[in-house]
Amino acid sequence: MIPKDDNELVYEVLQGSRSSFEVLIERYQKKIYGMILQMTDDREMAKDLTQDVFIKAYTSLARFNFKYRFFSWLYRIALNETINRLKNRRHFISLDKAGDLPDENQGQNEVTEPDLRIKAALRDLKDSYRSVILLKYYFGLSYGEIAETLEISPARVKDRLFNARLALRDKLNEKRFFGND
Amino acid sequence: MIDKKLIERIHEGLEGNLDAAMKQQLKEQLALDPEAAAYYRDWQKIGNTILKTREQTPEIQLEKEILNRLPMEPTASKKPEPLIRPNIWNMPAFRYSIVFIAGIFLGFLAFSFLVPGNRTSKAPAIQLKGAMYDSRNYDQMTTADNLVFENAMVKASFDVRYSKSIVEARITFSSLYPVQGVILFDYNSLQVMNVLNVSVNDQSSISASSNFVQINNSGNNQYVVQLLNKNSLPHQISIKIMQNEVPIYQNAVMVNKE
Repeated sequence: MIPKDDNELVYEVLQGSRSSFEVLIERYQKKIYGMILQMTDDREMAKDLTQDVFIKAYTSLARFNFKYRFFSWLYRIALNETINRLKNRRHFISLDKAGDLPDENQGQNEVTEPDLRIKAALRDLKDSYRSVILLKYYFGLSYGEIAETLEISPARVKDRLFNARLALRDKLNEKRFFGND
Repeated sequence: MIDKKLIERIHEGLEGNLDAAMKQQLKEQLALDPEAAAYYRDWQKIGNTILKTREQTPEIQLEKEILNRLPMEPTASKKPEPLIRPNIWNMPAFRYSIVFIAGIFLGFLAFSFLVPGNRTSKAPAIQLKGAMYDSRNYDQMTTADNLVFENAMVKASFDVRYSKSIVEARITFSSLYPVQGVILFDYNSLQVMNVLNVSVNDQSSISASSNFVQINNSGNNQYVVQLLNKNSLPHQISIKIMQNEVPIYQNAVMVNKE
């Protein structure tokens, strides 16, 4: 059976089908959770935020514009929700604290030193740079898809990505990421 | 400082978007530019680390929790937009409105052609008796003659027309002093239906008998005389203009010409 297109599922949800929304959750929960986890480095917060993102998407679905792709709309909600939550809670973990992460995280994810340094460097970046790096490297989105998600032009995405890459490299240099080789 | 274009090229190379020739070119550029080569190595490491982290994202099953927290309806405020917008021509409301407008238009068209014209239908003469005849058909009547008389004292015109059922004369008088106009006809063929003062002053009058109509005129006036055409046979109508009981003009008009 050919899987249904996202927009088709959204249409069915708007007509009252909760099972179609369940399909959308199954399709995107891992990606959304992964993105939030990269930004927060907190499993509980990431789980909680992932649920909030889907609930927000469900309640705002009537405002969804069928011209766009569903996943870019969902990523935008996820980015905004996460950035807002981080701003509210100031939940930034410094590199020094990274070693104090709970054991369960380390056990399950095999978090290595370079991973932690990258996470820390990402957290030190501006929100706009962090978003564009995450969308490009964690989700492998094209310039056009990033532009749609962030509601900016593809040319601006290119510029922002250029600056974000330089900034991330500088941060990683500061954190001696490359010195270990 | 590394050239911006070279950085773009480096990332394209790292993402595997370069063909063999471009890859070779990039390799040569990196060999010449140690700073760019360092950038390439750094991003290779960053990319690999991110890829590893991406693959490590744990599986989660949040469907039940999310579905339990969902409200009953997504939103009740807005109807879903259809995935495929229907063509406006296929919308029933549009089609019905087009049919409705076309119906009204055709109705007006039929009314304007059939009702006021009424060219072929003739009311029977019997129905015209004793009724005020509507002379809107005057323009469609056959012209018998248009008599014009003019001297220093009097100006007069008699425009006589007829149809199968009616004879109508439109008379214009213009005289400084009183003059009489008399219209004489055979009462076996014609009968007075109606005499009208269309535009008349208080010193003028029009009266009718069984076989003549008399006008007493002073000033500028207009009259209409309508006679019932009893048998539609050719018939002469005599017209006289008199001043001080003396005829100053006399003529005749033939109606129901073959």
